Amino acid sequence: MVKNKENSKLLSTVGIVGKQVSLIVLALLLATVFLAISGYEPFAIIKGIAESLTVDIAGTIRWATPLILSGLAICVTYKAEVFNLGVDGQIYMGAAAATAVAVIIPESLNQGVSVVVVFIAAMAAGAAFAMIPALMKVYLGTDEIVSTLLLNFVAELFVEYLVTGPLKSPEQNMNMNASKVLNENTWLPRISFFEPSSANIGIYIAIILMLLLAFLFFKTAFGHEIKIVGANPVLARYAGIKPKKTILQVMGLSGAIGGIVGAIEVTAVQHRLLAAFNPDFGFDGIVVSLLANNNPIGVLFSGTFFGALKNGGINMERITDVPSAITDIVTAIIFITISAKFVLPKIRKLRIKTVRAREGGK
Amino acid sequence: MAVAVEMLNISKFYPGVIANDKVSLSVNEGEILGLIGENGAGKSTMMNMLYGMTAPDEGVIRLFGKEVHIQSPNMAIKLGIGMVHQHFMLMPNLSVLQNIILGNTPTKHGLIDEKQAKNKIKKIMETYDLPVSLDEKVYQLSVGEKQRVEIIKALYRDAKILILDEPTAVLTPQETDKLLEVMQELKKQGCAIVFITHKLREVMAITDEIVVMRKGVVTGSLSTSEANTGGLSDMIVGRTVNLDIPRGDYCPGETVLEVQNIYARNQRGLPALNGVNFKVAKGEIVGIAGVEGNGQAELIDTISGMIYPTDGKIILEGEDVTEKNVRQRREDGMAHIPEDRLGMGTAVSCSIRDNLILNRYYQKPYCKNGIMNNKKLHQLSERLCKDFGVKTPDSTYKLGTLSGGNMQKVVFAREMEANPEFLIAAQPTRGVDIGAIESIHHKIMEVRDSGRGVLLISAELDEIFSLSDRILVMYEGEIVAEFKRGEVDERTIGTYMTGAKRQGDKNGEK
Amino acid sequence: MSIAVITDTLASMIRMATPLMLMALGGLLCQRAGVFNIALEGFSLVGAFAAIAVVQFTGGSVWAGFIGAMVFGAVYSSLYAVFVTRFKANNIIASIAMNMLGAGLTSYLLRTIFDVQGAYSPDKIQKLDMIKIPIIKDIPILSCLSGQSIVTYFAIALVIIIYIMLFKTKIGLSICAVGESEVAARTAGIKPDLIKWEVVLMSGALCGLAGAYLSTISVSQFSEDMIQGRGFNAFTAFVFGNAHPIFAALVTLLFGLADAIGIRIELLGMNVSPSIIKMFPFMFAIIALMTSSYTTKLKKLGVIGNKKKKEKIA
Repeated sequence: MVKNKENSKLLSTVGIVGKQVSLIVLALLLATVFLAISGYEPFAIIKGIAESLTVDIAGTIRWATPLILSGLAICVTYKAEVFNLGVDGQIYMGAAAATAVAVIIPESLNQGVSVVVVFIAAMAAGAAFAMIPALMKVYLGTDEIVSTLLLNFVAELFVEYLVTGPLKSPEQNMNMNASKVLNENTWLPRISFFEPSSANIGIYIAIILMLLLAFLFFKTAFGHEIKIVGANPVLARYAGIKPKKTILQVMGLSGAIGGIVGAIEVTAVQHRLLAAFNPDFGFDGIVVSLLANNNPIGVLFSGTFFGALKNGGINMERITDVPSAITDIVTAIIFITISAKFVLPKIRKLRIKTVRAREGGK
Repeated sequence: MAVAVEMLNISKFYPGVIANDKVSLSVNEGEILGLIGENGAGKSTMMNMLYGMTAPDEGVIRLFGKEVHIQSPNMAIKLGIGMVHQHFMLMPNLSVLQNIILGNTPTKHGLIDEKQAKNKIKKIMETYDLPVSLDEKVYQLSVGEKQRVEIIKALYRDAKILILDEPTAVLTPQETDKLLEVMQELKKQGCAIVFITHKLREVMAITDEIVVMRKGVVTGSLSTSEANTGGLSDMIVGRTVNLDIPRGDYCPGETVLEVQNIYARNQRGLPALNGVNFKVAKGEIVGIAGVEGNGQAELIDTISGMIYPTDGKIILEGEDVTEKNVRQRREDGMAHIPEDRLGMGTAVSCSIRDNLILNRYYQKPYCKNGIMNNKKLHQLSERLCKDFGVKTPDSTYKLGTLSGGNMQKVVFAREMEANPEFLIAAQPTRGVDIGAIESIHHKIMEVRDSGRGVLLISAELDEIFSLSDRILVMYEGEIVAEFKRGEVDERTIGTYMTGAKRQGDKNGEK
Repeated sequence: MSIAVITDTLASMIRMATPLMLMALGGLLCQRAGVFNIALEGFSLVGAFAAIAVVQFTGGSVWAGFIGAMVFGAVYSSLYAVFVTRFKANNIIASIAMNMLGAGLTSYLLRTIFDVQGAYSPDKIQKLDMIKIPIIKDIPILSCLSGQSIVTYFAIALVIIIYIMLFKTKIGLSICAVGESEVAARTAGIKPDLIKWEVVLMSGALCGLAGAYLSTISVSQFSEDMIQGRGFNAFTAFVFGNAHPIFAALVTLLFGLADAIGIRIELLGMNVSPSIIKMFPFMFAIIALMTSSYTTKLKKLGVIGNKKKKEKIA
């Protein structure tokens, strides 16, 4: 009996994973057809992914780090049925705060301390920025979907303002909007094994956070409260949980994770604040989280897949002339197919017949 | 009289369930057929097939002798079928007129011809004595008015065959009488009516023929003149039911809950409770009767701590809990079986265990420093499933896999596990079948007999009468009458429920 | 400020509001039918691209560009319609996916068809003359209404047409009914999926035209980020306007004003960062969103409105 139960649980997990994998395969097939029709090397994208997972793991790690973290930021709120579409804005704000703090940290300060201070600033900024839509939702009843989308633009423009104004690099003749290069003591170290790639120890932060969140969700009373608030906020209130508080908490947590992404991009990848540096990690994070069924452990895998996809697309564009936009198309196809509830009438008919047969046999 | 509807050997299968198995019924013009049975017996499925909401997997439907395949409600309407659903199919933010003409809209030069529509509706309202104001928005109407709109809607489409799905469930005795009069009138005009209900009294009063269903099959088909209520209820349940609950002697102890002059507002900010006073003692069941929407929901919310009163006090076991929140009140010994089992009492997408542990997951010894002891919680939920007879192989299954009666058992188990001194039971048997009603009533009685206080809120007068030691009647946010068990009948209560009468001293003892 | 400056600002307000108005009209139709559509951004981007592509292949015909943009906008939106109806997709996720797909597709096709990155201008484009309205063009201030493009006048006409359609016709009643309660609409003999298809296709075509306006009238090129959040602003506009065509259109004018003031500040050479100026419409949208949710909340709490009900109970 017990063994049967475990088997059936295993089976259902395999089923879920199988379904998600089939969505990926479907999207890749469509993309291949797309490439073939437009006269490119049809298997370019598949090759790109394969290379990313074998010879160019460094590139994959570089992209997977922000994607896994964004996925975690999304899954925290999604569990409570809150749609934080503003992770991108929180990333920008985190990056802005990280830079603002990093430029005033004296060059003499120890690297470990500097980095921690920079990251705390970034997390605080991300969380604070996430509080705007969260407070609007809780106290005014404002739908967080639209407010977070709008705030993304505000944050992006704010960074643009910073790097063209107060934080503008003093270097002359620079044809990009950026801050000055940060002092080395504020850099988050890269992984020396993968030099010269910008793969950095942010991946360890992502893995640790993933484990912490898994623990939070499955082992703590707070995790249970998040689950109940997400499943039925009225039940939560009835049972004495305060959904408003829980919503503020998860949004703050999500924003802080977004801030970390921003800090990593600034301190480990670019080493300076760039206008529009964020290629919509937050939106990709939604797919990462959905593909993982909003399970933090799954996010690690789906984030790695999308990291490989992104890296593969960029590599392919450099080597062949396949536009890297194809990876956005693949992502979007996975995205939209995940949102669907496929109703297959044939299967239903079949089931009816089996029921009939079973009852008839009695 | 010609045969209006014939449904022959109809079967309908859902994954894992047979909703209808070779069910046949027929209705003549100018005749009322009573279709009765427990929840889930397959009555609504039969009618949904007649109305084209879903298609039968087997069997034949004939209307006026002609075989038809009804593929959509639209087609059913064209064939002269009208249905008044149990849950009203009305758009709250549209006007009454818009609701009636929807899907059958007269137009002139491409625009809606309101004048023509109004003329036709007025004629129907006069013929059948169904007055409603056409320009009001539906959300402003009372339940009885909404039902009238539904009937007008069907007649506006020239329905010859009318399906009424549990129309009296939400009505007061007086409103029910009015509806039965309208049905008589419709019958006189030659309408064929299918009347779904589980109130045997109404069936006996108005129908010509009766079909009884149980678990998807017909268990009885007879003329009303040959039927008696005892025989019918046996056919419904398949065994003899005893709805008389054995009860211990009435010996109320000390007061467990006292509500002192509370005022509260509803979700729309309108006054909903206007100075309510009453006490509940240990060892008694106090029943609150009243038409829904007269402040019962707000009363429950105020007592349980979901909303705070604007004035007044709530005293639980001698302690003022007015300022305390839900969790504190629960820890002080209050339990609550909510009216809306799916909307408030459970999370369908979570496991049975997640639902069962809600009072405990954060407390020692189940949780230390915010970290849950999943093993202990699992043991707790398995024990509760066993003790309360929840039919499931394992408490890790999704709650949504359970039947209504079993879900109610989960709620009951969770609330009783905390060993409360005071229980709020709101509509505890809504939507569960007769067999389960029996066991829930027994459980509530056990709570009383073990010396705890129960506040029972129910729209079903039968339930109030069979359980309560004292009955309070609520009308427009006030307690307008109070009776002791056995000193009042349903009809008298009805006059208080509709506000036609109130006791001189509105809150005092008699 | 001189009258000329005011007139000028108002004229640029109307110009900036035109695409928002078209998108908001499409969005509110969906809203009325219960389809949550924040894919306006993606639909418009596809329209903007289609317009430029068609202009290029027809040798510069902007008219062909309009029609092409509406057709492709509708075709693209049909994918959304399939997912919303047939697959019962989560509207929010599906529409965000549509925005992402729109960005990916246009960027990909820009490379594949025109072999450029970032932006493309067609070789030849026959710019439409702006329409001068007699009499009005000579009245001070009011003259801002004159000299606009044909699309602007079409958008204004559409506001009235959609108003009549929603509140005075059979189809409008059906749309509102589906949005109120799908099940109830079905029992009244309406096919909710059909209605949803209709409104989504209409929003696709309207957004397509909005995109075409941006790429062929505002400027003469397609660039990858040219919608710049206008779709989300349009969404806010109709939410703030209670999904009422006339109110929503007025709100888009306010958004246009925020844009126009920004342009004016830039023209006057005031020392304000252009990034801050670009924030104006978004800040304005957020304030609008807060106001509208706050008033909804007050209404729900009965502080304002609901007079009749109040009297009835008291």
